[in-house]
Amino acid sequence: MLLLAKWQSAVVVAAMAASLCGGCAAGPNPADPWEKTNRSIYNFNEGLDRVALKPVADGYVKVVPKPIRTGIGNGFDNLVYFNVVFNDVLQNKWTQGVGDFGRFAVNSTIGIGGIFDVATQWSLPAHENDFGITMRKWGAGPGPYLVLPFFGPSTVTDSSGLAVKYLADPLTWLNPPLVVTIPLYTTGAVDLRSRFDSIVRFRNESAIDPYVFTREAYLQYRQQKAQEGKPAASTGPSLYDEDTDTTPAATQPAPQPGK
Amino acid sequence: MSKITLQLLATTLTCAIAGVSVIKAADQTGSAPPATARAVMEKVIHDGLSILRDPSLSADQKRVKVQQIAYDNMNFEVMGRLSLGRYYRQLTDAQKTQYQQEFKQLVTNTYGHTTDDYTDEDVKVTSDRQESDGDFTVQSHITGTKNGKAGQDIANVDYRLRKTDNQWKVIDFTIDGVSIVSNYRSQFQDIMNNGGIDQLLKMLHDKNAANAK
Repeated sequence: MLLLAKWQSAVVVAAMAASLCGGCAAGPNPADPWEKTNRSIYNFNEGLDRVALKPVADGYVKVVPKPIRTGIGNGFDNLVYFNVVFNDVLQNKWTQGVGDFGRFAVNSTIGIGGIFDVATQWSLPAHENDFGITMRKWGAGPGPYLVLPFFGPSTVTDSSGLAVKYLADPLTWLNPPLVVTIPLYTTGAVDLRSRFDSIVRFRNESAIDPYVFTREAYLQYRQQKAQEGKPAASTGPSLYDEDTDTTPAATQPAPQPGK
Repeated sequence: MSKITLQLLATTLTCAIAGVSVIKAADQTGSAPPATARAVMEKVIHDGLSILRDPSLSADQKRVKVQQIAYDNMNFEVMGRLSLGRYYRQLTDAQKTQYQQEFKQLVTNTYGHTTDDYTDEDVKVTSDRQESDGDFTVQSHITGTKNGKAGQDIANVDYRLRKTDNQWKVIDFTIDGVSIVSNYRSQFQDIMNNGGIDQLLKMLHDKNAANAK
């Protein structure tokens, strides 16, 4: 994680720097002004996935029995769960915060380091929360879309959540040597990849442009998360109105076929 | 993309399809189609889940049955037009026909496959509301077993239905805030701006050909 966190800050800085010149030739999508840079990083991530992560994750699923994989997945989920508790508190969600703290405490102890998800049985279900959501609830906008190497889709606002997640990680406090953290986080990444294999497959089958599919899904999902599931007024009626479609760039000349 | 987003999408799409898929046992018995959008969705969900839970059906049989329900209860034409947005009107009739054909195949193929991922999820209609243009949004909640405990939240899916020819049909699904039509529109808009309709038709065609393999 230490390694990844260092990587990440370097990357954010690099992405920002790249955006300074990229800004002059901003793309048509205001939510993704750094599309060119983002696409390069996206392609890098996809390439890494193809040659390394996916093959390893497939092997992992083949070799490791499901109950053990579930335990490993639970363990990694629990490891970063304090971040959820912390952000519940920042957002004044005390009832959920107390429940989430109980979940973290129960699974870390009775659940033996989080391997057994006892808390769910005890009606302390898992929630999703992070500092990106907190920032939005405090009034920050999502900021420009940002694809991070290794971490994938994010926004400028959401990427601040990764730093907080790192600080709220018990492994950060314990600070074990790299011989421990590197294998641990490699396993975590492989486990995570194995868990979203079906959705990656779905995306690859349904998306004509997987980059845009991922971006739109990420941005809409995060917005909905910050709004607590309330219907987004910003979707607007125009999406469903065939006569007064007002999507951006409506003044552009008609596209030239085959260009 | 966050892992939970991905997991949710995977499971949800299965259920969404299951749901959308099955409207009309009613027609088979010759009775009138359900009168309200909510009743339509309740029937779709009920029939869809029955198919997915039927142990006597093979995975392929389930896919075919679920796809049939999708054909009967989704308005692909409206969905396709909305996904292309303002560009649709610029197409020639031949281009429209080809586009609609490819779009329908893309949606049914990819969503049909998600029936393979179904485990034991349950879907309940939670509410419905009329939109300003007369469409109805029917909201549903999907629950399933997580770590051995049933009834855990999986996702919320909103179905938007429009009445054409006196029949309510689905024109969009929104899964945890992610609208399928909106997602396709963003993808298509980029392609139309860069390569035009020929490029889009080629990409749709190639994708369908790759999925058919």
